[in-house]
Amino acid sequence: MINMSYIENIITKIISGNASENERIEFNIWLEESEANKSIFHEKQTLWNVLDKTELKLDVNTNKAWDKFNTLKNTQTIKKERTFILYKVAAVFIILLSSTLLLFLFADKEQNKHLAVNKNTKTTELKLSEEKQKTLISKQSSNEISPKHFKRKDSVFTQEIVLPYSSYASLTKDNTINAIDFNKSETRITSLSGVGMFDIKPKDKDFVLETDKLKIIIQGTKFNIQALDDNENLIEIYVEEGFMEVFEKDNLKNNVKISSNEKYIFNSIEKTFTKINSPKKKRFFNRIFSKRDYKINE
Amino acid sequence: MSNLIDIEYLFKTHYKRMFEIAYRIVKNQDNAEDIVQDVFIHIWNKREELNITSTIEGYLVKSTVNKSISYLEKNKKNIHIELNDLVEFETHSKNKSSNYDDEILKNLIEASLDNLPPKCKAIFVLSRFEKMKNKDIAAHLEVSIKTVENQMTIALSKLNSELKPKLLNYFPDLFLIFILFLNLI
Repeated sequence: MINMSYIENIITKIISGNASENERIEFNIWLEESEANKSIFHEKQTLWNVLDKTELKLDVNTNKAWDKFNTLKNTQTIKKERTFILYKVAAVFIILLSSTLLLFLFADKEQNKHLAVNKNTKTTELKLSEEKQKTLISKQSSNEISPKHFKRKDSVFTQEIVLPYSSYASLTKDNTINAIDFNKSETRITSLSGVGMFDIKPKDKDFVLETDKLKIIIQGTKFNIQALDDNENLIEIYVEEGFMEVFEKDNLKNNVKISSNEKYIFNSIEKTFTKINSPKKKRFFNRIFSKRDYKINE
Repeated sequence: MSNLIDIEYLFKTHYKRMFEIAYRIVKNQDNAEDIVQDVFIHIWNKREELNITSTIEGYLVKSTVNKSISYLEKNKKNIHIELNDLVEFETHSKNKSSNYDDEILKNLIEASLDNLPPKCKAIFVLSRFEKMKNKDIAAHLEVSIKTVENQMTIALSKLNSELKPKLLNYFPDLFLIFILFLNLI
């Protein structure tokens, strides 16, 4: 007895012209066995033949299709070229972005190094400086300030330190700012050595500069500061633009308000502020403010 | 095959057949045309790196069938046709005539074919309408001969079970003529 699915398989092969000689012999034997077998086969063959009714009457225009193919091909080529150009632009952009990021990271690292390390600073002060820097980093990550605030550019004669909020300080080559702390309301420089020229942009935030003997509160100001003698008994302050308040460190009641284009000299022995008339605009001074760092106890 | 003349020759030689194969499977002229265009565009785009192991004709058949199967699989929901709905609608909407009978019969068969699974349908189309041998179908579609044979048997059984009652119901004369004709042979 032949399995039905097996014989169906052979029937399919017979009517589709794929049966082997052995299969044909096997099929013929099965076919002659009964009328029912013949009926099954005829049904299948009728079905196979009736499929001729689905003969295609298609109007295939190969030339028209070829024209369409050419159009598509050209479009694809243009698209491919455009994609290639886009990839190139994207690659250049990524390279530039990466380079900028690397430069920024490198500059940032250098700046942190610069802020943290000072040859003349005691170990305890170094630790404090690191903590402050951590604060700065956390503030940077919360988008309160932009990372560009810690860029630093060196030149042959001066170094320009970019301060928070687009402000900057220019110092003579050998001098440094040791620690900068800032928050939403104020920027504080707690240790400064050397001659300094400052350009403070924000008018709504206090910028506090503390030296050994003076505390200076500034808003939106350009100013210079220097000591006129080696003992730092005479300190000259010149305001180029804006306004500032200068306090004697040990006696805050002793203070002076300095406006644009005014120059004052503070005498630390006599504890007096003296206004100098007709000051000449002078952005940099010839001598350094101090050979040592000013250390301010907060 | 890296210049324009070759692709033009290839296109003009094989387009018609590929179009018919695609049309047999997807049953839509626009889609069939898109499928064949896609096949040739792919060949054009990859002309430098294309590694055809079989004949170019075999490659074209394989690509066309595979793209047609993908199309059917993506659009499965839209093409399922109920035979009863089709025949009842048509028999009630128009008067019968000889040509119209043929048209209904054609629609019945095509609807039954459309209800086959895509791969099964593709294999059946290549065998029945392209008159390809099972071994060639197996080679072109990269399947075993056994698979082709099984799919053919499944297709024929399904078509038989779907079409037989309809043919007997709507075209008893035609069916009987066929049977008589075959018996005489």
